[in-house]
Amino acid sequence: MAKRLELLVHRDGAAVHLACPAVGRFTCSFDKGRVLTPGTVVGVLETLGQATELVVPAAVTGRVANARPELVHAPVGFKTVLYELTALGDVEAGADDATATASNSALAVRAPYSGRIWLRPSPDAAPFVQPGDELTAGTTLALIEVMKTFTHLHYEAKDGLPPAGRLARVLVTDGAEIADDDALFELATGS
Amino acid sequence: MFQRLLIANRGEVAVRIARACRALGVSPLGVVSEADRDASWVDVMDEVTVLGPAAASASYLDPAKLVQAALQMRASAVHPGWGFLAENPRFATLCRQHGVRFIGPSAAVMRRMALKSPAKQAMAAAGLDVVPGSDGPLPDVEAALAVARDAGYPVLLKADSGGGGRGMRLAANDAELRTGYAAARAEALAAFGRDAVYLERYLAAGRHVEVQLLCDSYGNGVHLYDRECSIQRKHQKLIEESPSPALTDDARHELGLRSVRAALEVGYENAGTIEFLRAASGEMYFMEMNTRLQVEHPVSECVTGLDIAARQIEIAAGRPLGLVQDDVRLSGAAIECRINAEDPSDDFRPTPGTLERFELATDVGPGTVRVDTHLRAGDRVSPHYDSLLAKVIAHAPTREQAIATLVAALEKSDVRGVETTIPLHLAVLASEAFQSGEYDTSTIPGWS
Repeated sequence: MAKRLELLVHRDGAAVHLACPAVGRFTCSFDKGRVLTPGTVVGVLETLGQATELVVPAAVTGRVANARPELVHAPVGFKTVLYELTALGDVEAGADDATATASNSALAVRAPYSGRIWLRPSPDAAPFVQPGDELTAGTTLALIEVMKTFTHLHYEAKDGLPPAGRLARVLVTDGAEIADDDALFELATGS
Repeated sequence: MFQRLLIANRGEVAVRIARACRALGVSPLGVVSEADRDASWVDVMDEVTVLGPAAASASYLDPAKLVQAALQMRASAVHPGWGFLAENPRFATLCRQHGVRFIGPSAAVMRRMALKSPAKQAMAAAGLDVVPGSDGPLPDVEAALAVARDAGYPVLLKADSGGGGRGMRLAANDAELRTGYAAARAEALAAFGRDAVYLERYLAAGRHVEVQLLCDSYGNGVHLYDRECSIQRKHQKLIEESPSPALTDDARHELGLRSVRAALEVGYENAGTIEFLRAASGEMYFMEMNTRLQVEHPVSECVTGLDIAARQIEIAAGRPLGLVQDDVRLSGAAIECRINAEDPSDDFRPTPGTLERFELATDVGPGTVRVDTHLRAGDRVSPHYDSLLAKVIAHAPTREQAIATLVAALEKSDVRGVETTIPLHLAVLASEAFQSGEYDTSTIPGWS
C-alpha cells in the first residue's frame, strides 16, 4: 500500500488552499467543481521513485474552485498550492487547535526572544517541567535554540509573575518555533 | 560543463557558489526552507524549490528532498557548500545513485576522513606526522592507561565521530584518565550515537594551520599554500589569514608539497583542506581533513588569484586542473574577519533581528577589500540558522598593510539593528600579539 500524507491547509477567508507537504512530482488532479472531503486521495506525489498518496485532512470539506491545472508529473515543492477550494460546511472549527492558546486573564511565562523551543534536555529525557509542578525563581523550563546556540529558559518572578506558582499548561510543543513574547507556559491562578 | 547546478545550501555560501556558476556560464538553482523563501539572497538563483519547514532537519539536511529537487529542476550536479550535508557520504552516494554529480571527493574518501582514527591512520600511512596516541579507538581503560604512559601526559580523549568539542576530556595523570575515560565515552554516545574514543598527547599553545588543496580526477594536485586559523572561540574560527605568520617560506613549501602527496595518496579529488596542529616546538601534526569548500577559502583565493569554487565545479565536470605547482604563486597577505550576529560584550549571545543598516566599506586602502555576504539593509537575520552575516577580507602586498586595510574597512563600516562581532575584530587587529603574528589557539589576543 502506498504511503499517505495529508495535504497542508491554509485558510484565506472562505477560500481554502490545499498545499503539498513535500518535494516531488505531482500527478492526477480533480476537475473544477468536484467536492473534496476528509480522506479523499487527490493525487500522487513521487519522490525518488517512491509514491505517496496525498489526502485531504480532517475538517476540510470544499469544492474545487481552480481550473484543472496541467499537473502530470509536475515538479512541486513544500507548500506549493495544489487545490483551491470553496469551503462547504463547518471548516473553521477545530482544525488548527493543535496549539493551545493562553486565556487572556492567565499568567504566562513568555518567550524572551524568537527561536525554537525544546522541552526536554535530550530527546529521550523527561521534560524539564510538567503540569502540576511548582515553579520558583531559577526553575529550568526549557531550552531555546537560536542560531544553533542553546540557552536555558528559567522561571523568573518578573513581568507580573509571582515569586512561585504552579504550572497549569504547557502551551507549545517540543521543537516548536516561537516568536518573541509568545505565551509558553501557563500558570495556575489562585494558587 | 554542467548546464544546471543545484546549490544544496543557503545564505552566504549559496551566493558564493552561484557567483562561481555565473563565471562558468552554469545556471545556479536554489533550494530554500520556508523560513528563507522570501530572503533577498534567493534572487541570485535562476529557479528555486521550497524543501520544507524552517527546521534544517526537514529541509537543508534531508538528502532525499535535495536529490528530488535536483532531479525535478533538471540539475546535473549538486554543490553542497559547507555545513549541512557537505561531508555526508550518504548524500554523495544518493546523488550518484540518481545520476547527479556530487561536487566533492568520492563517498569512500569522505567516509574515511569523517572518522578521526581512520583518517589519522590513512594520513600517517601517506607520510604525515600524527599526534602521538592510540592507533584507533581504545578497547578499554587499561589500554588507555598504557597508551597515555607511552605518549606522555597530559593527554586528550576524543570521540571518534566527534566534533565541536563534545566527547573530549583532558587528563593529566592516571586517576584523571580513569574518570575521564568513562565520561568521554558517555558524552560521545549521547552526542554521536557511538562511544568509541581515542587518545592523543595534549599539545598546549598550539596553532591551527591548514593547507588548501585542489586535486583533479586524473591524479594531478596542487596546494594553494596555507591558512592560519588560530583566532578561535570555542573551536569556532573568527579570523583567518594566509600565509601563516608561523611558517618560514621553506617550511610552507615543504608542508604544502607533503599535503598534496598525502591527498593524492588517499585518492582525494576536488578541493579539500588538511588541518594541522603546529606544536610550540614547531612540529606539524595532522589533525583532520575537511572534504569540502571552507568558509575561509577567500584568503587563499586572494593570495593566489585562483577561484576555488569555480575550480571545484570544473574538476567535477571532468576538466583537468591545467596547473602545476609552479603556476601557483603566493602574492602578498590576506586576512579575513567573520562578521557574526553575536554580541561579543554579552558572552557572544546570538542577535537575530533586522539589519537597519548594513554598509561594509570596501573603498579603503592601502590594500583591497572583498566582502562576501548574502545580506543587505532591511533584511531579517533569521534565528533558525548560523550567525554568519558577512566575511570581510583584506588583501595587500604585506601583512601590516593587510591589517591596516582591514582596520580601515571595519572602522568605516556601519551595521545597525543587530549587534555584531566587529568590536571584537577591531580589538584583536589592534593587539600587539596579533600584529606580531605571535598567537595561538589558547587565547583571543586583545580580548579577555
